[in-house]
Amino acid sequence: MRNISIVTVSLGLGVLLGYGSFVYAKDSYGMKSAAGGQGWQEWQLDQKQAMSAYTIAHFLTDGQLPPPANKNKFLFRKRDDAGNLLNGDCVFRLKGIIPPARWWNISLDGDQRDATTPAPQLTADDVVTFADGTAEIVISKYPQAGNWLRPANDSNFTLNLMIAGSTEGDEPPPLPALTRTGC
Amino acid sequence: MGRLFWLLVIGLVAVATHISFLLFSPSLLYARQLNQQQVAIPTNAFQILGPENQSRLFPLLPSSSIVGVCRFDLAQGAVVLNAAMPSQYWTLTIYGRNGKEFYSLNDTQSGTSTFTVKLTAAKSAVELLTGNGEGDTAPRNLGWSVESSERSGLAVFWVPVSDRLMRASVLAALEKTSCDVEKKPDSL
Repeated sequence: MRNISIVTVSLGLGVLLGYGSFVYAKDSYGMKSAAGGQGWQEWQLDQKQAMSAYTIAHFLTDGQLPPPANKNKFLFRKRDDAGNLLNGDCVFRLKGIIPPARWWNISLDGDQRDATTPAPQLTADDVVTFADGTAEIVISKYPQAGNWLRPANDSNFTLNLMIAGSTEGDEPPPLPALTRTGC
Repeated sequence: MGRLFWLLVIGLVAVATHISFLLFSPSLLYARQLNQQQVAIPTNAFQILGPENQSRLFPLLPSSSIVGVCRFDLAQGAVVLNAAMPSQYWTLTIYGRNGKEFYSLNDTQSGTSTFTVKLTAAKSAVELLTGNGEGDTAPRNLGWSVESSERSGLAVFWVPVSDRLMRASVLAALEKTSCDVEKKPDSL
């Protein structure tokens, strides 16, 4: 009787540990810190990378497909350069050169946004840049001069940067910096 | 000694469970969700996704972009994708049933905006050994030919659109795309 309970408990613990580690891994190992920018993270979509199985698992278990990886990069961040959470109540300034690409898109994905509401976004064709190619975008719920992105609400949000048709070389260029300018 | 043995058992069961979930659960869960939620995607036919389905299936793609899909099933024979893409940046990505990409193409790599991709089922080991399943090997002017080890999957055409005014013309170009089971030539 005692042996049966030890077997049951061991098997149960093993299954729980295995399942728990799988759930943790699929939500954590599919992304890595992006080269060239503090605070930016990147989805590991290249199937040659060891952890890409977790990226695929992350999307599929939610009934989604990983986005097309061919020359595309999907970067995101939930905090600014100082480590503050991105929040719709504060004002943030994104400044820097967007890595060379055929097209790019910056969007805000709020914690409370439902799938039917389009995310606030700016694309390569919308943003006015300085002569040296630097882009400056202000994220604020109040209207701002220049390139302006308005969060959907006052809750926390994620800043997404999609780089489509990346044309960068071996050395990744620096990614734009994000600073909080007020709350 | 006994304690060490059971700790080893727990560790082995945990590793086996982890690997099993990683290998099998994603594709099973995805196939179930695709059948339950996206029943609107017909098999072997081209369809442009509505914003809701696009956001559900590809949450990382910008909502302003246009996504066309063909849910292919090679059980009835080869599937031919006749693509008509707009003259701008686009990608074609073909996913297997397990959600892995096995073919991708963009406008620069293709060099043309109208092309054909023929999807055929890869021969099994038995077919390769016996020489069966060679089928119709007659060369045709069909563009690209892709062998899929998966019998079903999803071909996804993605076109980014920034300007709302451009959306109608991009949609008009993409709507000419088709996805059909290859018609067998009449036997003589």
